[in-house]
Amino acid sequence: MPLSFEKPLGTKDVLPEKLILIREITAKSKDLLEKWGYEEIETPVIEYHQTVGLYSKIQEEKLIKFLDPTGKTVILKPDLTTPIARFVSSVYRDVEFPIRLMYQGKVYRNLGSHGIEEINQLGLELLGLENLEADAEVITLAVKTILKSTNSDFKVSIGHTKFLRLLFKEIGCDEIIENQLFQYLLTHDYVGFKDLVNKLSISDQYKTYLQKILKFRGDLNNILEAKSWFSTSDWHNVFHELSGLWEILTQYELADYVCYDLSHVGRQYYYTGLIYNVYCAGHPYPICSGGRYDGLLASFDRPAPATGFAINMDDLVRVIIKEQGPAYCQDKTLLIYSPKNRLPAIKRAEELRKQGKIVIMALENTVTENYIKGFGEIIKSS
Amino acid sequence: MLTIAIPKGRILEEANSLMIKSGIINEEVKEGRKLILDDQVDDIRFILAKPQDVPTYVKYGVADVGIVGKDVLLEWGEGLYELMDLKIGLCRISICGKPDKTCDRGEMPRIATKYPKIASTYFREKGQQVEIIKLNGSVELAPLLGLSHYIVDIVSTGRTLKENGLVELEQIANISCRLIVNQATYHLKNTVIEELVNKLEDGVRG
Repeated sequence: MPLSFEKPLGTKDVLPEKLILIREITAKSKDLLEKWGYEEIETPVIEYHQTVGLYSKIQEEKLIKFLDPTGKTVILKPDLTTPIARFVSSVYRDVEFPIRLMYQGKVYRNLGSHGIEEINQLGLELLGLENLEADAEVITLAVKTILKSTNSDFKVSIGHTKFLRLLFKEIGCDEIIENQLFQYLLTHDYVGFKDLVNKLSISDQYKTYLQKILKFRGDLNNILEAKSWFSTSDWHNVFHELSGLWEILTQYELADYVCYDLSHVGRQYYYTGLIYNVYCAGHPYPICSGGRYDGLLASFDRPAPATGFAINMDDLVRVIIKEQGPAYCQDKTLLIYSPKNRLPAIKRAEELRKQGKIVIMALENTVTENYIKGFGEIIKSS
Repeated sequence: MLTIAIPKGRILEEANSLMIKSGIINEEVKEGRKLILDDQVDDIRFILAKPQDVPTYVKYGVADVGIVGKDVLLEWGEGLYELMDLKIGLCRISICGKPDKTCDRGEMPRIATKYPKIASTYFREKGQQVEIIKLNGSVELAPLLGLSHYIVDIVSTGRTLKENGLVELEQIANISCRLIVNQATYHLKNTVIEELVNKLEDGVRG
C-alpha cells in the first residue's frame, strides 16, 4: 500500500521556481513559432491503442495501456506527433497542405520498474511538404527556439536514414546482418560494429567504407568523400540533399550550430529522411530530436510527407538552471494590519499591486518571525 | 579539461601503462583515499570509482569519458558511446558449475550471478527459462552450498574455479576494457575525443 507521501513512481511535482521558468520559455518559444505561421493545437491525453499506439515511433513496451469504459484499449499519449497525424488526416482532412502546427504538453512513457515517465514537450510539425526547404525550416526553428532560452553551447547533429540503408544495400548485406549493424549503431556500440564488419565476407574496400562512416562527422566537407563511393542516382540524391540542406542552413546563418553525423541512426521503421538530435553543453543526452517521417500519415489514410521536432522542456529547463541559476523570484511585500484598520489596509494593498508589487496581507499576530523573514518589505498598516 | 572515470584496482594498473604509452599522461594515476585526482600538466581529471558506477558517471555527464569492462557495460551500460576496445582487462564471462552435477530433468535451472541481465538475456536467447539468483560476490559459493545449479561469472585464470572444484562449462562472451564517452561530450567536444581515440589507438597497437 502506498504511504501518504508517495506518488506513482517516476512522476514529479513541479515547484514554483521551475514552473515559472517552464511557462516563460514556453511562452517565448510559442511567440517565435507563431510568427512563422505555426498554430497551436491540443490533442487528448488518451488515444486508442489500435491507432495512435500502433503507429507511434515509441515502442510497444513503453506505452501505458488501460481500458476505457467500453473496454477498448487506450494509451496515454506517448508522443505528440502521432496524434497530430491522426488529427490532420481526420478533423483537418479538407485543410489544404502545407499545414503548420505546434504543440506543448505532456507525454507518458512506461519505464517498467522505474514507473511512469512524464515528459514536458514542445514541438512542431510541418506537414505536406517534401522539399529540403521544409527540412531546413524545421531545423532552423529548432535552433532558434533553443537560442531564445539559453546561451549554452549546443549542436544539431544531422544524419540521413537513407545513407545507411543505401550503403548496406550497395554492399549487399543480408537482412539479419543489416539489422545487427543498425542495432550496434543505434546503441552506439562502435566496438561491436567494427568487430562484426571485420567478420563479414565482403571486399576490403567495403570494410573500409563501413569503418569510415563512424568518422564522417562535422561540417559538409567532412562527409563529401563518401559521395563518390557509388554511382547510383539514389546515392547521389542523398548527397544532393545533404549539400542542399547545408546551403540553405548557411543562408539562415546557422552553420555554426549544425554538424553532420552519417552514423546517426534513428528508428528505421519510422524516419524516412533527414534526422537530427540536439546536444547541449551541461546536459548528458539530447534535449531535442526530430526528422522526416513521410510514412506516418499514410497509416491514417492521408498519405503525405512530413517533418518535425520535439524539445524536451524539462531537459531545457535543467540546462537553463545550470547556466543561470534558479528562476528569479520577485521580492514580496507583507502588509500587516489590525481588524479595525482593515479598510485602509485593503486600499493600500491594491495601490501597491497596481504599482506591480506582490502584496500578501496578514492579520497582526497571525504570522511568525520566521515567516516574516522571507519578505523583501514589511509594512505595518496603522 | 577532460574528466575520465576509471575503476580502481587491476584495471587502473593496466590503464595507467596504456595511457602513459599513448602519451595521454606522464605520470601514473595513484590509487589512494583521494577519489578525484587532477593532472594539471595534462589537463585531465580522474575519478576513481567502483567499476559498476563508471557507466553511470559517464551517462550522466559528470565524467566525459570512462574506461570500463565490457561485462559492466553489458549489465549496466546504456546511452553511451562505446568507441574503442582497449585490449586490457582481458577475461571472459562464462557459465560454470560442478563437473558432475547437472540439473534434474524438467527442473528449472537456478543460476547465481552478479550479472542478472547478462545471464537472463543469454539463456533467453538460447531458448531456456531459468531462475536467476542475484549475489554480490563470492558467487562460487552458490553451487557448492546447493543454492544454485550453475553460476554466471567472470573467469580470467580459472584458479578460483579450480580451487572450489568448479569447471567452466560454456563461454558467454569475451571481455575487455572499453573506452566509453558521454553522448553530449562526443558531439560537443568532437576534436578532443578524436585526439584521445587516435592516441589510444596508437597505444593499443604499439
